[in-house]
Amino acid sequence: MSTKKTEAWSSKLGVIMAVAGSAVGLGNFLRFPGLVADPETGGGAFLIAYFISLLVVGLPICWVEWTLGRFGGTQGYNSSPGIFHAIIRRPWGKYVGLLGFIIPVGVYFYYVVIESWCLGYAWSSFGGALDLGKEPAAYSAHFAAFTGLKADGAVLGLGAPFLFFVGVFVLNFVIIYRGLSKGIEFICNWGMPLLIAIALILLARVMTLGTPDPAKPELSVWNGLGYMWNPRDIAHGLANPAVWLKAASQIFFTLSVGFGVIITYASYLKKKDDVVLSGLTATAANEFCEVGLGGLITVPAAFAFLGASAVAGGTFALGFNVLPQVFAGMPYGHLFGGLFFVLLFIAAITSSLSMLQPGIAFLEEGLGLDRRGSVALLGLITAVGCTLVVWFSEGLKALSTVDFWIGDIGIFLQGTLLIYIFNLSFGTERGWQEAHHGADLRIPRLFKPVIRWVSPAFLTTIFALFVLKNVAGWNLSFAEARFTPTEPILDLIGGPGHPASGVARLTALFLLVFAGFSALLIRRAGQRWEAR
Amino acid sequence: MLISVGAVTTLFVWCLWKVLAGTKPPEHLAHVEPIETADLEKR
Repeated sequence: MSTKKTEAWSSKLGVIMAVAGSAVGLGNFLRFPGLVADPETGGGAFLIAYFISLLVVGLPICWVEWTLGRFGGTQGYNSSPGIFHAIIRRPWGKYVGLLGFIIPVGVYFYYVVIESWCLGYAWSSFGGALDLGKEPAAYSAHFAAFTGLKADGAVLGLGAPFLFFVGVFVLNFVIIYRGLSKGIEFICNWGMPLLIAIALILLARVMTLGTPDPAKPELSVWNGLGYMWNPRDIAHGLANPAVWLKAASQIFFTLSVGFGVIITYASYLKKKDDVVLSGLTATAANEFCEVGLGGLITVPAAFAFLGASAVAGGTFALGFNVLPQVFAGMPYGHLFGGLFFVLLFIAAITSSLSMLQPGIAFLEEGLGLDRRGSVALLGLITAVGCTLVVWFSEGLKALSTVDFWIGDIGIFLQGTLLIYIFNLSFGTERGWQEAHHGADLRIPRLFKPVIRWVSPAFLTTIFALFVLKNVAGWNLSFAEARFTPTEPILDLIGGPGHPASGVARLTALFLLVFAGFSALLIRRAGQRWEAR
Repeated sequence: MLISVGAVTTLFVWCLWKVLAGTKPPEHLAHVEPIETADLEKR
């Protein structure tokens, strides 16, 4: 009988860098700035709601997930199904962890595709190929060609977009095969400081832009900062439920809680390893990247060159249409632009690696596969899912369908389950004691009732609002309530002027099959765990 | 802007300092050979 080799982090800083790497992603640099700059729901009110949500939902659930993860690890489990099996100790307990498997794997299906765009754009920028002139349409056309936006199957073949995708996909699995310490931890220990260094260089460049076009003195970095950060009517904003919904949702998504990642990462800690200071540090790192860096780079730069209208588009428009045009307008823009997309690539790959580890952990401990077998099987599963996203690229329909049902609804559901399991199944008092084993910091006592009462209520309310708005199409008004079917629903069932999307239906069916297949694997895993 | 950016930066720097300041060098105990259970079975 040989000695069992268990994986572990080689240092406290390593696990913090890994969790921070998982959390810091494109949203820190593209989505958050857009939300703050939003003329209707942004400004001071958004930031107040954002920081309140951080204290009431983000940080508490972060600590909960770290605690439950480390506990699960001490019981011999590193995957969500295993950890919940250990916590709930009922036959159905392991199925609560189903989302902790399908969410990270499901999000990987499209996240790695976006990651390959970042690398491709970095390559193009350094080579000067992203200087497409002053017409916005040229940049939109380039994005459409690179992503296959105009037609399904457009990027398949031996062209650059598909080669970048295959290269990035393979790179992720090469790294994950190396294991926790030599793979993920190594990449994050180098990647996160490099990301911050690049961001500081870009910040310095943006802050020294001044007024790029003297003929348009109103377009300056200073005015761009004002456009984004001016408080506006705070009282009116705080009375708007849409503001709270956007702020709380952003906090939830940006911290990667309820993703199935932190719980797995924390499971590789030992019983006496700290989770309180580690969880706080990872959260602080994410917020520094989001508020301190992301909030000062992209929107002010876009405003200074192109004005407020350039900021109005979504995440992809800002990152892949507007910013290349911005960089093309500045001296040495091809270098700064290339650096920017390298920053996005690092942010993306440290996140995508984290999405693979929960799957690897489950396949190893649930099915008894070795590293080679688990990597091969997960590679096959994700190759099928990614092919779906890459093939059905028209309108990015497959991508947005997976993003909505898995990346939005799924994460909210998992996060809500997490806080209720902690309080009801594990026990708040027991969880509080567990969190403080080996802790380098004491959680302020005020957080105990917050975790017990406030976080579950707040998160449940936000989740319900999210579903009512984005699934049922509620206009968030009581006085003149209206329910208008939203795009994800119309894509599935069709409606006047909006026929059902075959791609969305096929994607939804694939996700259901994937969930069913995963449930069968969990059932098999449960039989192994009961037998051992 | 200054309050938000200042707060998150201060928190991040403080946390990093606390983590790095609290890192202890590994203690060197007397060397102990790891036990191979296969060896036990041979005895």
